[in-house]
Amino acid sequence: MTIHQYNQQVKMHADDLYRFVLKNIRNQQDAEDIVQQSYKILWMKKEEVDLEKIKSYLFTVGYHKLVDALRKKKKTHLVESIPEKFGGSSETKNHDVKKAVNEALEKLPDLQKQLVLLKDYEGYSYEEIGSITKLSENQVKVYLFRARLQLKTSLIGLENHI
Amino acid sequence: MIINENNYEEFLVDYLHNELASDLVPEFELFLHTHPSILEEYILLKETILTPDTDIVFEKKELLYKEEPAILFPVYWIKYLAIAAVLSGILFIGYTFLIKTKIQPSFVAQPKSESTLPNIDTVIPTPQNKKDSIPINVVIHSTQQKVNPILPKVNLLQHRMAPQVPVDIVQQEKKEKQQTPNEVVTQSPLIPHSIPYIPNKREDTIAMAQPEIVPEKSNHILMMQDTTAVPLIASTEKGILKFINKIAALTHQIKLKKEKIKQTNLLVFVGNTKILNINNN
Repeated sequence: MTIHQYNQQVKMHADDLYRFVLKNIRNQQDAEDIVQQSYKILWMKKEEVDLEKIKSYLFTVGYHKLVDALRKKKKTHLVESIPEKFGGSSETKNHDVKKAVNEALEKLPDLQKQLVLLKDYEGYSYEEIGSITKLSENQVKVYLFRARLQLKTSLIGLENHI
Repeated sequence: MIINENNYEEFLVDYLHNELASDLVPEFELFLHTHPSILEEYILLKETILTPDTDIVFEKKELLYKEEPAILFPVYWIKYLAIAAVLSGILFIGYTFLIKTKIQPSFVAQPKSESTLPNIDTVIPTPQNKKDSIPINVVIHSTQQKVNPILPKVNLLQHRMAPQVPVDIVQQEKKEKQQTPNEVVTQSPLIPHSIPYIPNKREDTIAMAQPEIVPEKSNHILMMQDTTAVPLIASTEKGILKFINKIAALTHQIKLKKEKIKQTNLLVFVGNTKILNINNN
């Protein structure tokens, strides 16, 4: 991979990776660090990574960096302030379905949340998500279904509240 | 029907995530429309699908970009190329001018006096109407075969004043005179009559209009000194070389035909200047 090709990958996928990480970790600085670390590793492995699988490789690295960051975060019991534009509890009162789903998403277990984001944001297949998260396709499918049911429940509650 | 109320969830989640096999899609869609409660569940699930927020962008991409090596165009190459181009142009113009200068003067080969150019006896004037031709005088100079002279043992005191001539040469000359007593080198029919022909004792001279034509004559004719002016296209160096090659081949041919010819010299004159001397020994 040449410098030009690497820079093209930055241009094409940096936003997607950052969006995915930020949605999960809900901290801008941490998300930026993870993106930078992911691209740094990509550059170090530039001779080994297939050009057609760079995005998948980036998300795999980013995913594992994210999981590590979330574990550390839970240990320190830090309560991060969530920027308003990324969704907050106050927005659930707006009866906006989209925002209600985002709130419900935050309540999902980390793994289900990551799977939902990989599926919805990036459009990865079960197989690709399994490759990134080291899960089987069936596990991905089951976890996704459970996540959907939980999100649906939040919507039902919203409709009842209305 | 494969899909029923007991197993529809597996198909529903696949259909929701666009992972359902294409051949099962029509059947599942039919199932949905025949089961309103499941269709309502599907609509709710579909609303849980997130859309990426494109407002969220990574604003520090400059931290990720790698600097590509700048393509430095070697400017000094341009300078050298320009100098080389100018020099080439000057050389070309100079060469062209030099060639034209040599061509334009209507060279008329003039016979030189024997003191300055003793071997050239006749000269054919160059045609004046061909301005693009180089007049070249070709002199084929052949000498008779010589045997290593064996000097007689003589009393130096007795022959102090007499020139010492190798015995074999004297004998050979006498022999030749006996063998061809009346042979006087005559002008070849190929020679224009206007060209004076001056035979020489040891080096007869003959002028040939075409250098590749070798007059079949005696050994004396082969011991010839030939002078001719041959028009040649001046602008073609290749033509000059071809011409010289022909002359060289001619001298070699002469040598092969006549065993007594020991050496053949090819002299090429441009104007009065000898530019080439090939010893075809």
